[in-house]
Amino acid sequence: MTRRSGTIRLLLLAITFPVTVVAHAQESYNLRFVTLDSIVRTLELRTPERFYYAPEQTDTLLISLQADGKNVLEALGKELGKSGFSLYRMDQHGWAIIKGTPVVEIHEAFYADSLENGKHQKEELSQLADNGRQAADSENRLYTLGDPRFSGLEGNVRLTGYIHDHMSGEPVAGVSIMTEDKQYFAMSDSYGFYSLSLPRGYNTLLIQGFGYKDSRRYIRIFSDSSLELNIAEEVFSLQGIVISAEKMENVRNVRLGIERVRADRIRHIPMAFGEADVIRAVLTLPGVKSVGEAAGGFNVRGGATDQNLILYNQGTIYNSSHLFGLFSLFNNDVISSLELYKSSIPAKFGGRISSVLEVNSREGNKNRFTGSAGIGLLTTKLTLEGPIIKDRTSFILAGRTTYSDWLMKLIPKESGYNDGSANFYDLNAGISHRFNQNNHLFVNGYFSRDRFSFDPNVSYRYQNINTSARYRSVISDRSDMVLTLAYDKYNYHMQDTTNAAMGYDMSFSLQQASFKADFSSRLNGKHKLEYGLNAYYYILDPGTYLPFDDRSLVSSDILQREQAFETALYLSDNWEITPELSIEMGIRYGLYSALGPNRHYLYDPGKPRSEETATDSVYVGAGKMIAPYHGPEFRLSMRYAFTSDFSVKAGFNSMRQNIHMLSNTTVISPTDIWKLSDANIRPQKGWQTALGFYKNLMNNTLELSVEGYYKHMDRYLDYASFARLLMNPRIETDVIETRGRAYGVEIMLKRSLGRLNGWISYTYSRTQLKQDDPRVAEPVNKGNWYPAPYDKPHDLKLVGNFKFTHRFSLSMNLDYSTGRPITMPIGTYHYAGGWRLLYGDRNAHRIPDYFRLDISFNIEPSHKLTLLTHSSFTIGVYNVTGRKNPYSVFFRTEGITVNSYMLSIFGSPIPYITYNIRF
Amino acid sequence: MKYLLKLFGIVFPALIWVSCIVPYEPEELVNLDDIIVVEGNISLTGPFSIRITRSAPISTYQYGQRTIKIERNARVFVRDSKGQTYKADTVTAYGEYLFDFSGLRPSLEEEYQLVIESQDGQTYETDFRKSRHSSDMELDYIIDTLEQKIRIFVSSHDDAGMSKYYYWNYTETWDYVSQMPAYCYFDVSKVKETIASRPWMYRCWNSRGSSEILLVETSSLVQDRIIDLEIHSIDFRDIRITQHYSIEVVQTVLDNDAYLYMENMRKNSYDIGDIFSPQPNEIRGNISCVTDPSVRAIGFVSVCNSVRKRLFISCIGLPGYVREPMPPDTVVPLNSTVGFMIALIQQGFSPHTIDPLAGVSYWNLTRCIDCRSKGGKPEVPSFWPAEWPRF
Repeated sequence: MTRRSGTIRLLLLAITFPVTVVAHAQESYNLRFVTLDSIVRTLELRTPERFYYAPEQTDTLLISLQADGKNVLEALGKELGKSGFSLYRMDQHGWAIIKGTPVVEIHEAFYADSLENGKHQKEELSQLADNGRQAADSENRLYTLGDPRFSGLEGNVRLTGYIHDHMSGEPVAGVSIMTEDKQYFAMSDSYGFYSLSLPRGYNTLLIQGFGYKDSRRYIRIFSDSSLELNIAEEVFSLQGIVISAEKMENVRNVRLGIERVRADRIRHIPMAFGEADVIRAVLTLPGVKSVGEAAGGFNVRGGATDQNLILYNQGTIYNSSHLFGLFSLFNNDVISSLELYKSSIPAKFGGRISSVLEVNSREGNKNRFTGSAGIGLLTTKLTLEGPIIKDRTSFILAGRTTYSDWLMKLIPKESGYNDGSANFYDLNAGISHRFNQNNHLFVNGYFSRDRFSFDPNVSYRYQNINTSARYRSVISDRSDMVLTLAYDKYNYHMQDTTNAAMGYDMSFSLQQASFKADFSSRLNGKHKLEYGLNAYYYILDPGTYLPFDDRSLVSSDILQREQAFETALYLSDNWEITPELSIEMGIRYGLYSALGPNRHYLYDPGKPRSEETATDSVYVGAGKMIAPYHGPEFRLSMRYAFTSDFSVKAGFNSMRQNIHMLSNTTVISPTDIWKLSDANIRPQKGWQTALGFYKNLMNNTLELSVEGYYKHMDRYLDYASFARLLMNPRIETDVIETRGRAYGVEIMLKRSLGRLNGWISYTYSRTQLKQDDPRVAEPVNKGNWYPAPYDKPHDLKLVGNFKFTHRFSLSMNLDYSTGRPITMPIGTYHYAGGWRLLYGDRNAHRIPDYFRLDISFNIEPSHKLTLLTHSSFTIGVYNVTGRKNPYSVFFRTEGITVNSYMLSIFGSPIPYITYNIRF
Repeated sequence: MKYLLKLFGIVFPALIWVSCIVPYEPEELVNLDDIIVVEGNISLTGPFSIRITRSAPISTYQYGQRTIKIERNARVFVRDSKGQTYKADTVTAYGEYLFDFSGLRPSLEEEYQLVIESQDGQTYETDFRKSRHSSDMELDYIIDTLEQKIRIFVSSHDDAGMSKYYYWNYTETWDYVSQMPAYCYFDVSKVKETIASRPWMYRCWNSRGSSEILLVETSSLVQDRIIDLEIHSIDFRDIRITQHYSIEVVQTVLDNDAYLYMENMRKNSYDIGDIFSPQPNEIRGNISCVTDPSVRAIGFVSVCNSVRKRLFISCIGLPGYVREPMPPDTVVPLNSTVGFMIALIQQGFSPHTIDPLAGVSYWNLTRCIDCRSKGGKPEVPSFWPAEWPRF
């Protein structure tokens, strides 16, 4: 069967007047020198007629019209004729206003109307039914979609397709597409793919994306079809265009606790050193906390830092920070968007019990070569992108490095860091290839290396490698498939040569290979099924301890390699029972086991584990399962929309986690080790239940959400007081299974459009831990509940942006929270020649509250679209009030006295200026 | 690729990273004082001391060095697993209970414990422990002109590989001289300047015990051996190494439990407050209150022998401590009134030279003349080498 081109050109004969106008014949029109817009608005209001025209052609047109309802169209046609325009009938109630020549572009489906009238042969019908995908770029045309034979039917149909950036051809994620009455809503995923269920017939689609012009498309849809959309980036013009993306998301989505942030929004949040950063942006969201300013990692709703699954292009990130957590390893220049799942975690994700942070990088520009570069006091960046085969294959390459050694010299001596050095670099590479409309391949690579030392004899290095290949195939309009292959590696080295005889080089390495097959299919518009298979293989070398050189007496020690596999099958159904009520039900069943070869110890049950209580050791041969763990995880969420702008949601999630991070610090540090569950260490389990209310106020310009949650964690691994975490062949004797509970309420008010936009959120939350393993002789705080290190009950966050004009805007970021808990001394005693401290219950005290205000002022100097480059300035101050926010409060024995101190990471206002040129 | 030329985008952080550490006074501290603190190790082959003190509330820490609350009236004895007891000989003013029952030839195969019956009627006991043997130790030092430091090293080895857990403490003793020698002094009994037979209060000796917690374990090494481990270093400009210096190092071999206890105490004292610092933690020692299990006790008492070694370093030729600028001498007539001279002394001046021909004495700042003003005493320690000057 031959495919017909999307549109055909034909010569239309001028329609002969008079025309019968159907309705409201008794109305009369007397308009003098009004714009075509207002005439059309008037007519569309009073008659069923619809008009299509290009506003840029008609915006200077002023028309006077004197007619009654019967001959108004005729009169309009005549008036238009005087100005060189023509009025054409396109279908029963559709009219086109076209300048000059009567050659017009008419969609083939315009035949459809005549087909319905039986004027065409049946053979042509089948050709039309296969009318293929089309790109819809014009706001002023009517796109007719689907098989017209179904035009008479009732009910909903599904519209799918990709949304691309008009200029670069990159897919755009997080764009909302909805019907004009906001009853039907969809959002594009990270591939730019959307799937919208909507009623048959005429629809006006509103397309809204942050940083993009709001636009609309007129469609007439008969059956399930697809439509490619190209949208244009927002440029600052004198007439304002509102940014109104995402505002329907909260109310419409069935899932709770999802936060989406686009890369360009991240750029508008003031940051220390002006360096836009993904993790810092995540920390401005409600429910996300960290122990302090320079803390690597973050805590979501009371979860530990290792309970977040951080996916970068589907690869797993094990250490997300550079330079003591001042920067995250994501280079914002290549990030397209991030999604944080705090509560309802889709069944396709698993392996962590607290949250999922999904970060995707951009695809390279498919149309032309572009790039950007930056030089700063801390980092240098270079990004290059462009097509390899135009419109098919594109690449993106980005590198970033730092030369921050000088910074270390400026740190006060007391911090113990100023003798050191620190630097890092990272590289991003991505290739995307489009085989055809339905098949895409994405290959991504990431490499980063960090090196730092606190004194010349002690140095640390760590590196992240992430590679992934994703193949996405749209099997049909109703189903698609993503296959992912990924390999990740995280390893670190630590060297200490302070004493030559004890000089060592210790290393740790974790490798992960994964395969994922994710399918989704939509059944009859009511059900969206997601199902698939995840498989992981882990290789963990917990420690290699080698002499640094031949002067060293260190005996080489290599802890036995740990290996494990994990597979999970999942199925979830997003069931739209009625437009008001939706349910998402998911189940994920995972099987995990550590694999031989491995020798592990057996311990006397009921007694504290130690070398003495080990009863036997067991050798498990290569490839054999050591201790299989399996179980289901349930993901449930439900939404009931009372009105189009008010909904209530409830959810329940259970999760399992087979890999643990062992750390005796409160932050992610480069010496933390990861441990796979095995015969002696069981997987962590957790569940969360949440309830939320979502209301859009003031004509959908303000979004209010209130979410409450209760979360429970089991078998979280805390360490014993005397624990030796590195190079410990019996690590199970030094860790303690801990229970955790967290609860809280997050209130957020968000305004995403208008001159003043941003959000304000208040969170009340508690997180507590408890050690009640009877085998532990001396549990922390006598086995009572105690606050987790990141338990900060009150938390107020404000992110705001105010546009004075289109050239000038002010951004602000405010963060207030209760101080974090710390362990304080309760007495002193004299021992070993000095005053020592007797510490009280763990985390029984709090450091002073945290407050920070950042302000930046943005200037957009150029407005003209035709300029080759667009430059912008940002001048900002981080920590405007200069408050010395405590990172920690600590007591130190100095000689014969004990002194208490407070460490502030940023103890004064830090001004910065950013200058950027885009071209 | 001309578009590359247009690549631009500069980030200027205009100021620098300003982190800071400031003193901080916490509020609402809970205090738990008067906990018994037991320090010392039992030795079967020589004299040893057990010091018993009490913990103090934290809230007084700002007021500098506080006095240690000493428990002098406890009944303290060592008991072996057969029930035989060995009593303390004396108690010093510092709360040290001195023992020496090596003459009774206690069995090295037996296990021993320390028992304390405190003043407040509680009984505390340590667990029973066997004696650890000790290994030999060598001391060495280098004068590091590059880093401008004297570094002191310890080396140790145990061919049997039994020692593994080493703990050191030391006492350093040094002499120094005042900024200018005084050839006379103000004799209080005569109430006038008096010529001294030798420079007056010119050379003093001072001493200090270690307050660091020095620990090393060798279990990860191929040999139970420590080579040139730096345990102490002193800057060239430190007063301790301007003349002569001596350090006595005591090496104690601990067992694993005692090592972990001391290591935890070290972490709690020094590894605190950095970005990657672990959280402080308490772990129990081996002393418990048997009369009331809810009463806490601090300390770890091992049964072990210590090895002592002393090192002598002559520091003549090093730059010496930073001297303060001195004002011009004050010239005082020899027949000045007593009141005038006492007023001068109260203002911090002392005579250093008498000029009988001119009938005057020359006075200057006491702290530059009298070595005692820098903390030492003009008393020669018994171990001081005979060849080193004594005044």
